[in-house]
Amino acid sequence: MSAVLSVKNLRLYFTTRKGVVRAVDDVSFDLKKGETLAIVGESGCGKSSLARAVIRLLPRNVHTYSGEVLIDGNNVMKLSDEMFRRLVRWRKISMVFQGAQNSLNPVLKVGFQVAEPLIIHNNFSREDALAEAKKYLRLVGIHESFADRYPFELSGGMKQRAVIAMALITRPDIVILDEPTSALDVITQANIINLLKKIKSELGLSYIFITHDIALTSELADRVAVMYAGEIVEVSDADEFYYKPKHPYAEKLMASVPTLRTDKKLDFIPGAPPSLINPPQGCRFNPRCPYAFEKCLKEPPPPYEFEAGSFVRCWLYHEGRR
Amino acid sequence: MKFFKLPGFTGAYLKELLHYKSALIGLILLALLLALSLYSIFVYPGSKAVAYWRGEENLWIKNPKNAFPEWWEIFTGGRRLPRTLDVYPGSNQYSVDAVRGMDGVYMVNLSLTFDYYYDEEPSAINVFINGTPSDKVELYWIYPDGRRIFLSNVTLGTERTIYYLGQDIPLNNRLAMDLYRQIGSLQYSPTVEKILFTALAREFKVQKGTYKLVATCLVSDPRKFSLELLLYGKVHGLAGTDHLRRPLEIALLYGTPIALAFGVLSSVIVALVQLIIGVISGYFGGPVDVLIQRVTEIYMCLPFLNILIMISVFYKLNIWILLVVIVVLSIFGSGVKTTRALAMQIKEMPYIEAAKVYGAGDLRIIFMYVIPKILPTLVPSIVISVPSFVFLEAALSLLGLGDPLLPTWGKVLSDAESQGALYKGLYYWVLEPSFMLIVTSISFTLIGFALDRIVNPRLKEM
Amino acid sequence: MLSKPVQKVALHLLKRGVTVLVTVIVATYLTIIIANMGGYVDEIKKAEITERIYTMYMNNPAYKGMPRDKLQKLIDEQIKLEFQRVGLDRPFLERSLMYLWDGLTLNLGRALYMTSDSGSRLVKNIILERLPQTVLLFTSATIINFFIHLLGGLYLSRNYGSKLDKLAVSLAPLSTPPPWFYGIFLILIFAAWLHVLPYGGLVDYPPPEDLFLYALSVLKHAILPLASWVISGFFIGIYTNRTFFLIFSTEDYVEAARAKGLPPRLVEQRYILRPTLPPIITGLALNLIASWQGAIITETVFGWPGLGLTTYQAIQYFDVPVIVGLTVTYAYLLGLTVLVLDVVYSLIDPRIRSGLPA
Repeated sequence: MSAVLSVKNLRLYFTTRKGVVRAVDDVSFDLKKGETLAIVGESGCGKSSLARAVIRLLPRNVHTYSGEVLIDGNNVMKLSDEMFRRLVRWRKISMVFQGAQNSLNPVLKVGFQVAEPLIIHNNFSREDALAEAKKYLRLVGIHESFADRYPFELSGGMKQRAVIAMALITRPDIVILDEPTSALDVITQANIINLLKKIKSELGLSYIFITHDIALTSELADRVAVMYAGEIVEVSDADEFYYKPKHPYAEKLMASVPTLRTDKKLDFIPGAPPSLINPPQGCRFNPRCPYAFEKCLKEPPPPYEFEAGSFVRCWLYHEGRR
Repeated sequence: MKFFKLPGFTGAYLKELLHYKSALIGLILLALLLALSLYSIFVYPGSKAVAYWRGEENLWIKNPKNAFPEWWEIFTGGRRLPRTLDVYPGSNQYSVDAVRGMDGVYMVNLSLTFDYYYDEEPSAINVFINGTPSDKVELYWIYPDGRRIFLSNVTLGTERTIYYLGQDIPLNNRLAMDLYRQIGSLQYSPTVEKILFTALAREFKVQKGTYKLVATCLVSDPRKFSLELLLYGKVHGLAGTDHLRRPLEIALLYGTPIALAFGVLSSVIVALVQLIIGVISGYFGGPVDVLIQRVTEIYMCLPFLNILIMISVFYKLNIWILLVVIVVLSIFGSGVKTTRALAMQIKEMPYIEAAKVYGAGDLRIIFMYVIPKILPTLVPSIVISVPSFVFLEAALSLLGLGDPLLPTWGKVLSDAESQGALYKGLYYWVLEPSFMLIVTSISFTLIGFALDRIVNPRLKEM
Repeated sequence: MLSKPVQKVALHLLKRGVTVLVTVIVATYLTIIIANMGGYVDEIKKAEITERIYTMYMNNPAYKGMPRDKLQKLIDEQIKLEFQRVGLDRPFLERSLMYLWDGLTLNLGRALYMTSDSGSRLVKNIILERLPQTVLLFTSATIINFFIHLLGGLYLSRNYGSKLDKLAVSLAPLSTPPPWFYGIFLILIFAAWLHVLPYGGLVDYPPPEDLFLYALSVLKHAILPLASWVISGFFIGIYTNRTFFLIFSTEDYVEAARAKGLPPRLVEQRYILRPTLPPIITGLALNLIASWQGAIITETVFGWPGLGLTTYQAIQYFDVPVIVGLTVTYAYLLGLTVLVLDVVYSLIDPRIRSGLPA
C-alpha cells in the first residue's frame, strides 16, 4: 500500500529569548492509506509542533522550517503559502485541534463554521454548504437544529463532534487529530473514539492521532510512533508495540501504564523531560535510560529498521545488544 | 502594620527595572523632582511659601511685572535685556546735600546716578519718596549726553509716595512733544521709558552711559527724607515674574512637593480602596458582591468632573479636602472590576482552601494571601496614574476652582491663561509650569510602563 | 407575540434601562443634595418666587393706587403663601425630593445671570443651545480617534515586533497629558507664534453669511481642538488596540480558521475583528463619555461655545441654577450613552442576547 503522506527530515525550530527551540528535529515517517498512525509522547516533546509543521501553521518566531512533506508523491513544502492554502489545507489534510472548546469562533453560528471550508475551497453556495454541514453534523451525532446555534450553546462533547464534522466536510484524505479528547470526561471520550472509528471506515480516511495517553491509542492505532525530545525514536505496528515496545523510553512508558487484569508493579521514568533548546548530547534519552553505555553519550543513534516500515533509534539494536 | 505581609519581591523588581533604559531616565527625573521638593520645603516651609505667594504689603513691589526669565536672552539674538536697577539711599550712587533754610525748612539736593548699558529701555520707572507730608520735590533727568529735562513736581501727601513715571500722562505728552519738535516724526511709539532712555534719533536706540536723577526738594526733616529710584527690568530671575510681580520660581519650586504629594497620595489611596472593595466583592460573593457590582455600575455613569466642579464651587476647598473628595468620587471605579476578577480567581486556588482548612479566618486570608498576590499587578497602574491626578488638579485650577492660597503649577497656568499670556507673548509663563508638568508626567509614566512590562509579561509567544 | 430571542433581548434591555435610570436618579439626587446642603437651591427657588410675585403685583394696574407699605405687606404675605404652597417650609429631605423631581423632568429653572443667545433665561434653553456644539466637536473627535486607533492598532498587530511597533510602544507615555494640555501648546505654536490658526471660538468674527463659508470657518476653528484630542490619545490608543488585537489573534479559533485554509484577510475580518467588536464598542462608548467630560476643560481653553464653556462661565458667575442644570444634563447624557451601548452590544454579541455575561 502506498504512503498517502510521507514526511522526510522535517525540521521546525523556534527562536525564543532563551535560545533556539528544536521542537521538531529531523523527523521522518510515512502514513499509509486508510491507517491510523498514533504519535505518542509526553508534554513538551514536540508532537503538537509536529502537527503544525505538517500543516504549515507556523508562529512568528520560526527559526528553521525545512524538510519534505510528500502528499501523494508531491512535495508540498515547495508550494507558496497561497498555493498551500488553496491546495493542501483542508483539501488534502485537515486538523482537529486540542481543546475544541476554543476552536470555534464564539460569534459565528456552528453550522456556518462547519460549512465555511466548502464555501471557500469548493465554491459551494451558502445554502448548499449549510445543507452539507447539517449532513455531517448528523454523521457525528449532533442534531441538525444545532447548526443554527452558537458555540456557547453546545456542551464540550458536542463542540468536539462539531469540530470533527468541520474537519471532515471537505473529504480530505488525511485528518490530524491533536489530543482531540483530552479536555473531555471519560465517557464522552469513549464516544468520540467510537465515532472516529466508525467514520474512518465509512469515509476511508487516514488519521494521525496525537496524544500523551497511550491507553487511548490502543483502540484506534494501526501503527504507533513514539516521540521524544523532538525526535521520533520508534515506529512499530500497534500490536507489536503494545506487546513489546523496542525503545527503552517506550518500554518505560508501557511499564508505567496500569493494566486491568494483570498484577503489575508500576514503573516510572526517573529524571525530567529534556530541554529542547539544549538537548543532551548523543542519544537524547541517555540521562534517563537504564541501559545507557558510552556510545549513547557520544553519538545520536540513527534509525534501525527491524521490520519493514518500523524502526527504532537505539544503539542497543545497532550493537546487537538486543 | 503587622498583619500586612510586605512582599519581598521589591528588591528583585527594582533590579530588573534598572535594565530598562526608559525606567532609568524616569527614575533620574523622579530623583530630581524629589530633590527639588526637599529643597523647596527647606527654603519655603509651608506657611512661608503661602505668605510669599499672597504677596502681602507690597512684598514684591521691587520686582518688575511680567518679566521674562533671564535665560530668555537666548532668543533675543544677542540683545541684552535690562535687569532691575535699584538706586537706593546709602549706596555710592546716592548723594545728598542738605542746607538749612528759613522757617526750619531744609533745601535738599539729591543726586541718583546709575550706568545703563542694556539694549532696551526699562519696563517701568518708579520713584519712591519717603518723607513728611507737604515736602516738595522737583525732579530732573540728566542724559549721558548732558541733556537735562524737567520731569515733575511732587508734593508728599503721606509719608510715602510712589511716583509712577510711566503712568504720568501729562509728562508723557510733554516729553513726546519735545522730542517731536527736536527730531520730527518718530518710528516708534514714545512711552515715557523709551523717551527717557533714547538716543536722539528717529529709530529707537538706547543711549548708553551714565544717567542722573536729580531732585531739588524742600523738606521739613532731612533725616526722614529719602528717594529711591527703581528702573524695572524686562527680565528677572530664573523663572520670570507674573502680573503681581511675584517671582515664578516660588510657585514652580513649591508646586513640586505639592504636585508629588497630591498625585502619589490620590493614586495610592484610590487604588488601595478599590483593591479592598474589589477583593471583598470577589471573595465573599453573594449579596455583598451583587450590591457592590450595582454600586460600581452606577458610579461609572456619574458625571465625575461635574460633581467635582459643583462641590468645588459651592464649598471652598483646600487641596487636601479636594483630594478626599476626588478619592471618594473614584473609589467604585473600574479598578474594582479588575481586582474583583483577580480575587475570584485566587479564591479558587488550592492554597486558599488549605488555609481555610488550618483554620485561617477570612480576614487573615484576605490580607495575607489574596491582597499580596494582587498588589504587584497594581503597582504599574498606580505609578502610571499619578500624573493624571496632578493634571486633574491643574485642570481644576484652570477652571478657577483650585486651592486659592497654595502656589501650585496649575495656579500659575491658570493665572497665565486668565491674563492672556499667549496673546501678550509672555510664553515663559505658560512654558514653565507646563515644563514641570511634563517632567513629572514623563518620569512617572516611564517608570510605570517599564514596571508594567516586568509585572505583566504578556504575549510570550513560543 | 414576539419571538423568543427578541423577548430575551427586550428583557435584557429593560433591565439595563432600569439600571441606567437608577443611575440618573442617583446622580441627580446627589447633585441636589450637594447643591442644597449650602442651601443654594432653596435660595434660587425663593428668589424666583419673590421676583415673580413682585413683578406681578408691581405691574398690576389694580394695585397702582395702594400705599407703599400696605402693598409691601400684601406682597410679603403672598410670597409667604407661595413658599408654603410650593413646599419651601418643608423639611430638607422633602424639599430635596421635590427638587429631584424637578431635575429629573428637566425643569431646571431660570439662570441668575446668564442668558441664552436667543435671550431666554431658562436654564433648559441655555443648555439646549450650547449642547449641539459640544456633541458635534467631541463626538467627531471620538470617532476620528476610534478609526485612527483601530486601523493603527490593526496595522501594528500585523507587524508585531517590527521597529515601528517597538517605537509605538515606547512612545505610549506621550499620551499621559490630557488633551487640554496639548491644546495650550497647539495654541501657543499655531495661533500665538505662527498665526495660522485662530486662538479659539466657533467662527470668525464677524461670522460669514454664506453657509458654506460659515461651515469652513467653523472647521478652521475646530482644527486645533480636534488635534489636541487626537494627539493626546494617539499613542496609547493605538498601543491598546494593538495589544488587544494581538491577544485576540492568538485565540485558538483563529489558528483553527487559518488551518481551515481561509484566506488571511477573511481570517482577520471574521475571526479577529468580529469577536473583538464588543469590547471595542465598549471602549468607544467609554471614550465618548470621557470626551464629553473632558470637554469642560478643552472648551474653556479654546473658548468653544459648548456645554464645557458654559460650565466655566457658570462657575465664574456663580450661576447656581446653570451649574446644577448642567450636572443633571450630563447625567442624562452619560446614561443615554450607556444605554445605547448596551443596545448595540446586545445586537452584536450573541452571548449577551441570551442573558449570559460576556
